Amino acid sequence: MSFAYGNMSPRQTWQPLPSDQWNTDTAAHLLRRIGFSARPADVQQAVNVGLQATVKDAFKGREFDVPTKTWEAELEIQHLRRGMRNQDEKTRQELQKKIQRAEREAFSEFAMAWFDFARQPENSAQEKYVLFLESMFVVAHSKVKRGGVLYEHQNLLRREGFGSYRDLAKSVSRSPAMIQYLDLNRSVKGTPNENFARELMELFTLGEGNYTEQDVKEAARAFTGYNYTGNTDYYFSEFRFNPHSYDDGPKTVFGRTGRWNGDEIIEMVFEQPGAKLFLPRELCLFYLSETPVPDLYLDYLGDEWAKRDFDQRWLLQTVFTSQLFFAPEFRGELIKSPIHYYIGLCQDMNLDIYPVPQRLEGQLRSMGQSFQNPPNVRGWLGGKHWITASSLSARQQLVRNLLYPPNEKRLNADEKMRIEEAIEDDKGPFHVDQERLEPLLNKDSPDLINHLCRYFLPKEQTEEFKEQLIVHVRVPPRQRSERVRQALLALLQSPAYQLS
Amino acid sequence: MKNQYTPIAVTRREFLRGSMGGLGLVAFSGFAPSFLTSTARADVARPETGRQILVMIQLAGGNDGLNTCIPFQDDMYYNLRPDLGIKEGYRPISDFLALHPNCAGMERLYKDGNLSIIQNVGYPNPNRSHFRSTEIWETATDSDIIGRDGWLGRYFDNACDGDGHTSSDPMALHISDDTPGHFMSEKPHSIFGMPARGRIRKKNEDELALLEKLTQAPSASDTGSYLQHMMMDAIVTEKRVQNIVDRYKPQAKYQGNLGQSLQKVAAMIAAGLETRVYFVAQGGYDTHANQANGHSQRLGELSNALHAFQQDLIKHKLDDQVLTVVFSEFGRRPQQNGSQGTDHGAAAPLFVMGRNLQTPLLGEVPDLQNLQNNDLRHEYDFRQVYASVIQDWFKADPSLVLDGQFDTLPII
Repeated sequence: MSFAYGNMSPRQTWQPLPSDQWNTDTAAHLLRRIGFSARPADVQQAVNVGLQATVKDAFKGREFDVPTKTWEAELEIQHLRRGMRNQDEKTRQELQKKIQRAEREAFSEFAMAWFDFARQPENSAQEKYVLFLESMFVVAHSKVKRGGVLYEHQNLLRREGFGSYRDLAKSVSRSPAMIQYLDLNRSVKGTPNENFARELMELFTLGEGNYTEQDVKEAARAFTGYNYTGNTDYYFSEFRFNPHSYDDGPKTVFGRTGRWNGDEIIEMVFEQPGAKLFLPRELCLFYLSETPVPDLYLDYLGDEWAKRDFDQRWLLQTVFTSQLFFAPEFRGELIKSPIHYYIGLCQDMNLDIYPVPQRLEGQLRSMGQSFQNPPNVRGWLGGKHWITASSLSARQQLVRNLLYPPNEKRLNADEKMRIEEAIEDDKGPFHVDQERLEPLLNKDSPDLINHLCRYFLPKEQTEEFKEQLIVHVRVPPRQRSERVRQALLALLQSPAYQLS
Repeated sequence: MKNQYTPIAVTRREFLRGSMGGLGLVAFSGFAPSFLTSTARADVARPETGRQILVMIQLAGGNDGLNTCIPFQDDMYYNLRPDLGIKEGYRPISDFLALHPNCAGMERLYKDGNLSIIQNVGYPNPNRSHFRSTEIWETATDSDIIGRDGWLGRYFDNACDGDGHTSSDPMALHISDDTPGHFMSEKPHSIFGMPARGRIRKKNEDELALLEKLTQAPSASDTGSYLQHMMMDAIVTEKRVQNIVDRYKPQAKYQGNLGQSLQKVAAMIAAGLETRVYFVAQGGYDTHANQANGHSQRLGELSNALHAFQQDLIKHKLDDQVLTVVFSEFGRRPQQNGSQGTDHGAAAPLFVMGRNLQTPLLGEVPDLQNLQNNDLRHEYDFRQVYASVIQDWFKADPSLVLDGQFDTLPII
């Protein structure tokens, strides 16, 4: 595959995009990739303030507090747990059921609150990077179960995700969710469990081929003694080091022998040549192209990044302002993840996330990306792996749900309450109402379709594509509203809108 | 699907050439858009009759093996299960072993040589979490290694390229809400999922018509054209599958949810879909409390469904093309618990259904005197069953799929 940037030197490709190339096209590309959508007003704003400032502002650092309902559910779990002592088996079983219910609630409220947060355009770039980090430091709800603990893991990524990647890796090794997910709590002197040490090297920092089995085995001994507590005053769970289970003997890792502890192992990992390439490579796969950027180009970036102590903010600023990032062959060629698709739709149409957690969960699951629940430790493979017959069908259904109001009669009491609550909270609308369509109805058909295509799609579409839509909306006025809605539906379901 | 709009590429080769150029290193794994092949389909020979189709059925929740295949001569069994032990009505299949009273269908299958029972299947260092143990069965790794790909996904990746899955039919199909981990793979393959209950949601024809037109209009991008093919395939497959399911005339009486799912599978096999693997799950086996009634109902449903499925295949003369494997993520504790139920255990029996099976009953009667952490020890590793399926059924090399050497079993 030949890249148009092929005639630039690796160093040049990472230089900032010349300012005369900063325009609505490049700005829209940036916004769609660092966040979830590129609405014309946001694009114009980005053009006005400039590329460097836009990227800088996107990662300014915004806090996402513990969702209140997650917190309440976690308190209830604690309360119920305490109540289980000295009870007969029957009572304990009943309490156990209540605990499970509260656990589900703590988690689904976390999911709901996160979507609301990430959906706010000013948070989108940060939260998308958090999603990226979650795909590096994978934990899964199916194993960790507790919403509060998963929130804390995510928040760790948010809090430290813009500093040194090496320091982040150290913090992650102490994250209770990670300790549980990769069985570090079961890794003790004499019988170390290799899961964490292996994934640390293979999936978090180096990649296959950059370490030996021996390195994994020996490093695993350095991470013995890692464990976590139950609730503390400030956290749902906290790191605890148990010196009695720690193996303080000498270990030989990467050819060096010493009484290394976990942090020292991570230091050594980041001295390996693979470390400076790994994250930049993954970052490009996530944000830029499913086809890997050749190492030749990444080498330069990796070297510079390592010199800056693996600073993630520097890496993001450099990549997202680089000439390479804007190379024309990358534009409009990346398949949106289900979460990108969902939040992007809501932003594009100015909708709030439908406030019913079960609905959200169902939609995400059927599109193949359940919140905080990747299929395994490698995380989602993304790209073409998102696309199956059933996931496409689920994407189509999602658009339909956003364009046509739900049948009120089919909502249960709980759903109705959630919707009322959300409306009181000043949320909504949750689907495209007639009012939204009104301004479009008077445009003449080609104008309307050109407008919609430009608004929603990352690339200029072929005439044949547009013609199909134009023909569809060229109808007498009383049919127009329904036809425009159908055109919008098909447009947002179409392959073209799956791309970013 | 009539190809009435501008075709994107005229031939499959042209389509592949065009796409490959743009897509670079993407593994294409043999997708052909239906709307290109559909006109040709009429002339193409029906899929070869030598198909080897695998149907995997998971008894989700952990099936109580000891009350499924009952060691009715063993006093220890009744000692451990004073209430839950099944004392009458069981169906002896050997001097020591009997099937649950509700398993009439399975008994018949067994006596006809269409059902093999492999006793005490498990793996070393058993894990008692549903999630983790299911994952171990899916990835076929040692229990202390977290795997990534499913064993069937690895089979698709490594062993299926040669015979070129060129049709637009999905490589694998699951009737469950989530894609089973068994299918996880390195390369993308066409996987189709159907809801466990009800039909595929009916779509508004007007809406779909416009989407189809957009999907067939020339694309503005390379990935776009890939997506167009996938979407067109999805639309066509969905219609086709629903049509097949709706029109199917089963030659046996299917009951229950599992029966409904297996009827769909039979419909697709009978319609000649080139799909190699089907996955179906039956839930409700996590019987911690008041197990007797619930478990008996599940087994009744399982037994009826299996029997109906096999009869249906036999009547359609397709039973030589289908092998069915019934497994559960773990068995249950031999000792009943305080709530008239059983807790998560380890080894359990596994069932293989098909034509001309070699050995009806493999393995010893579960040894209740010699437990390990109060659970049954495994006699066979489940990966021996996988190895046998890959080698003796799919005629492929198990080492391409499984890590480590596993002796095959004389089943198929």
